[in-house]
Formats: sequence, structure tokens, C-alpha cells
Amino acid sequence: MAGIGPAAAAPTAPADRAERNWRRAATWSVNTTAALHVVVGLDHLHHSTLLAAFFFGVALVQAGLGEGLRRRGPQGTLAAGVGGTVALVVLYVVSRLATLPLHEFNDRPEATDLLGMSVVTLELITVAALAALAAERWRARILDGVLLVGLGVWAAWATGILS
Amino acid sequence: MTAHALNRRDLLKLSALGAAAVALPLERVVSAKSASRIASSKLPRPYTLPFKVPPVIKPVRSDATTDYYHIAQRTGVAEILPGVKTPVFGYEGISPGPTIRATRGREVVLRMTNELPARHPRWGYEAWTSCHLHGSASLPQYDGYASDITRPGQVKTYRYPNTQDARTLWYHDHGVHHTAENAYMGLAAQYHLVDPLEQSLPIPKGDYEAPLILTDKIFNSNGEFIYDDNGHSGLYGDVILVNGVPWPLMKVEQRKYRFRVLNASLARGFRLQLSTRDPMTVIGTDGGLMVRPQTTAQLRLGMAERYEIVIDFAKYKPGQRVELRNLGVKNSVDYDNTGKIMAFEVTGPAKSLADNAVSDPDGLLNPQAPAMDLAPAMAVQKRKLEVERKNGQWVISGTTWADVVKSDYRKVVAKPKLDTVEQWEIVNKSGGWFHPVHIHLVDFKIIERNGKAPFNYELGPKDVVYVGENETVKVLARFGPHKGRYMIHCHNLPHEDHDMMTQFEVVGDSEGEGDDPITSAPPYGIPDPLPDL
Repeated sequence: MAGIGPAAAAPTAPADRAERNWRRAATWSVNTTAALHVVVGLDHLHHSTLLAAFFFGVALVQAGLGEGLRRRGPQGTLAAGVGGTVALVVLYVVSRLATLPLHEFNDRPEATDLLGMSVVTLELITVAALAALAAERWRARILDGVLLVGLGVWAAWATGILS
Repeated sequence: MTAHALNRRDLLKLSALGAAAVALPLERVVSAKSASRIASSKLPRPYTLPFKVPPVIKPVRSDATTDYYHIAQRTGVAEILPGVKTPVFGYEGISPGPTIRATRGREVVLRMTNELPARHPRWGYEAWTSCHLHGSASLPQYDGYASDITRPGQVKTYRYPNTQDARTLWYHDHGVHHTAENAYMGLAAQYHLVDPLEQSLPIPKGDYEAPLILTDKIFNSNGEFIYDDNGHSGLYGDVILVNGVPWPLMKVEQRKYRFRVLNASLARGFRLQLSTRDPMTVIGTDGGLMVRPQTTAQLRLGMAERYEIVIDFAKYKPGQRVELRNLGVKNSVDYDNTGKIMAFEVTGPAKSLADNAVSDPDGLLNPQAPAMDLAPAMAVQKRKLEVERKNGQWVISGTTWADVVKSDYRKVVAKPKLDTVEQWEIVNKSGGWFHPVHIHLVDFKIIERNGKAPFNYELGPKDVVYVGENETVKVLARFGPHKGRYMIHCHNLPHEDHDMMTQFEVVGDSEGEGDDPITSAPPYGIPDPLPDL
């Protein structure tokens, strides 16, 4: 007889599972990046409080994004998260290829080290995960924007602007 | 319902930025695998050329108190790469130059003739020189003051008192604005000061003691050196030489060996490690033997720093090869083989086990090293020096050598009183550079590195301190034994030449100034014939 016994658990739809996995990936990558940015900030503390404050600020915002993801914030959060993360990736690339006036004593591009590469890899995972979480019409726009930025970076490198 | 998935097109869109973020910074690293333009087939494979040591020069004559030497600075041709001729500048035409072996208490008089061409044949500068005996408390006029230049065709006689403890010194060029080129061309050599204490200790000597003069070079297709200091930031060669030999192989017996390690590179720092990761024992620093030996598995070595290390090969089997590797330091440019320095091949049992210790039976080496007796409470003055790049120039506390010249050599950053102790704090706020800072005249004690104790291998008398990126180092020194003006500079030689050098003046209470570094013993034209010494 139907309805007797414990109710069977509702099967999880594949779309829900995918959403949950992408959300986990985004939350994990953004929180780990936030922690690594604290490390980066501490590394800069010796010579530039401004730079250190920047990285601590980034860490704080990323921790906020992580919390927003956990609470399933609005679509706008995803778009802002992608925008901010892409900006950080671009800043990373530019700082490794060009000498930025980051502080008074900066006289060459930053060194490409394991910490920086780890952070940027995590940020790329964040961008992908946030894009996947976005609604389809948002996602297309977001990814078109990311494509344009990527092409722009390559163009700047190929033309010698970034060198 | 939204499908949370990325399709192939989405991934392609992402990949433009992803590839840029990963590949472009790495391209910078990967593309820097070699610097030389000579065919790679002309470069020897590491550990295939035999180890050699520079010859020890004999004095022209000796009397009761003094040994007299004559050394000509002249061009020579070296076969550094097999079958390839490389023009060099050398003391006696060889690079590294001949080793001078001096005894404490006996003065050395060194007559140095500049027989170099009026202009460098390729680089065009006037090849003036100034010989600095690095590690010696010489009078100002014999200290190799940068502007006390000996022009081609001139001669200058230097006097070295040799009153300090036994140590590994080196003599190298210090001519203003061309120190880097001259040293790179080969004007550098070791100078060993021995004394009864050092000779009485059961530490390796004779056949079991060797200099290791580390340099790095870039070779042009015709075998000449390429000088490229990257806009005065530093020259990073892709070929590592030990005593003028690329990546040599040294045969060793199963016992302890003592190495007098000198980083004579212009800008490359080294971090030494044995391939076995076994510890090395450090027994001496720039200013001579340490109070007691220290063991370390890694040794960071800035330009001009000297460490005497003992490596024990007793535990290795005959035929076993042990490499001395360079783990590299932050902000040095590394290439394919700059991680390799040299190798040791164990031949078999030792022919002699005499002097096979790292200290005396009490574990001591030089318990009375004067610099190591200094304590912060003895300092009568504290000063701060900032090493930095400002407006495209390398400066020390905002001053350059040009400022010193402009002041008719009067401008100083400090006026310590003779025989007083001062504490100097050297600050490097940059994350992009390290600066090995050399204070002439004195031995100092490193008391603090970024608020912490110095590395254990730095616990000996020093005259160069590695001031790493974002580091602050505190040192104590007793200023003397001479009055006068002496230089302080970065030993990244392109930095020094452009223009990270200034001076301090040791002053007395009332007895007048010290000797003038330029006018007290000026060079003069080489007489013909050259009189006997």
C-alpha cells in the first residue's frame, strides 16, 4: 500500500547536483584565494602598508563573496564576483609583465612564483564556477566579457604594450 | 530551469584569459634559459673539466719585515671553454689572478702597473683601475678608493699591513664607474692571510685546502664575454665558473677538505647545497675564523662574501660523485645550468688524515675574534642607512658617489670616532633587489636580521652583509685602526658603479685628519726601465 513506511528520499535532479558542485567549487576556490591573499598581504607588510592593505581588502571581499555564495545570493553577486576576479587576474598578468608603480621601490615586474601561480589558478577556477552558476542569459554575457578581456591581454602582449 | 554546465564554447571563451594568465608570466621564466650566444656545443657539459686552482705568486724579494710583489694588470687570452679563446683582463694576465699568501705581522708591498689598453677594445671605456684589498684594514690611500684611479700607463704601490687575524681576502678592481666591467673581465684574485693560531689548528690545510672563486659569465659567439647589466640592475651569466673553469670536477679523498669560497660574481647570489643534502661546516667568514664552527645544509652567499667551509667526504664511497649545487636566491636570473656549480668525485682512502678536524679539541676556532666581542651596549652611536633605487639611481641614504665627488670628496654619511663602537642599521625596503653591503676598513658583527638572530653561519666577523629583499640588518663595528675616509657600497657591482656608493670618515679627537685617499700616494707614469722593488 502506497504511503506506508518511511518516505523515500526525493531523487536529486542532475541540474541540482551540478549547481551544488559548482557552488562548492566556487566557494572553496574563493575562500582559499582569500586565505592566500592574507599570506600575500603579510608578505608585503614589511615594505608597503598600502599594498598590504590592498591584499587584506581583497581577502575580505573574497571572504564576503564566499559567504554570499554559501547563502545563494542574487545573480548580481555572481556577475560582480566574476568582474572582480577577472580584474585581479588581469592585475596579476600585468604585474608580471610590466613594472607597475606599486610602491616607491618597485623597479621591475614582480617575480612569477608558486604562490602567485596558485592564486591565479584558483581565481580562474572561481571565474569558471561563478559563470557556470549564472543563469544562461547572464552566463553568455559574462563569458563574452571574459573572452574580450582575455583577447585584450593577448593583444597587449603581442603589440608590446605589456612587456 | 537553468542548466549549470559549461559547454565547449564557454570553455573556449574562458581559455583566452586562462592561457594568458598562466602562459605569459611563465614565458618570461622559460625564455630565460640561456644568455650566451655561443653555440651550445661549445659549452662543456657540467662536471667534465678538471678542477684547478690559481697559482700562488712568489714575492719579488723579502726582507725582515716585508714581502715585495709586482703585479701587472694586463690583457690575456684564456681558454675557459675548450678550444675557445676568450680575451680577459687579468692580474698578471690571468683570471682569476694569482693568489697572494701573506703572514700576519709581515707587511706586503704590492706594486701594481696598469698595462691595460687605453680603451677597452670592445666596450670603449678608459680602462683605469684602483686595486682594493677586500678585507684589509689598509690606510685610506692604499684601500682602492674608487676615485684614486691608476690610468693605463701608470703605476701605484700599495702597502698592506697584515695586522689582522688570519682570513680569506681578495683583491679586485674598484675603479670608479668601471669596477663591474673590470672585475667581470677578470681583475679579481684571492689573498690568504695566515697566522700562528690558524696554522696551529687541526683544520685542513695544504693539499686539503682550496679556493673556490665563483663567477658567472655570458659568452659571445666568438668566445668574448658579453657585458649586459640589464640597465645597471645586474649581470646574470649562464655559465658558472669555479676558479675560471666552467662547472669543474674535483677529485677528493675520503677525508675533510677546507674550501675558501668567494662569490666574485657581479650580481649573482648563490645558495649552496650538497647534492647529498649533507651538512657543510662553516669555520670562517669574511673576517677570518669563527669562534666555533657552525653546520648548515644551505649557505646563502652574496657577492663579495667569503665563507670557509669544510666538507667531509669520508662517508662517501670511492667513485661516488657529490655535487655542489646552487639553489638560487630571490631575484637572480637562473638559466639551465646555473643550478650547478661543481662536483667532487671521491677517489678512495685519504693519503693523510692529519689536520682532519673542524676545530680544536675544545670545539673552538678563534675565541678572541675582536669583532665578535662587541655588544650593543658598547655602541656610542646608532645610525641608519637605507639602500634603495631613487629616480633611476641606486643610492645609499639618498646619496651617490657623484654627490661625494661634487663635494670634493668631503661629503660623508657618518663620522665615527676612532676606536669607538657604533651600531648601524641597514634597511632595504625593496622586494625587487638584495644588496650585499660592504663597509670598508672594519670587521663587523651581525647582531640582527629583521629583528631575529642572524643565520648561524653569519656568526663570525664580516665585512659584507647580505641585505635581502625587505630586510633590515643591524651590525656592530669598532671603527679603526686608521682615521680617514672609507667607502660603503653595494657589492652588486653595476649598482656600485651607478652609483650606490658613499663614504664615512673615521675621525680622532684632535690629532687632525687621516691620510687623504687620493693625494697621499698618487699613481704616476710607469718609468722605463721599471726600478727594482
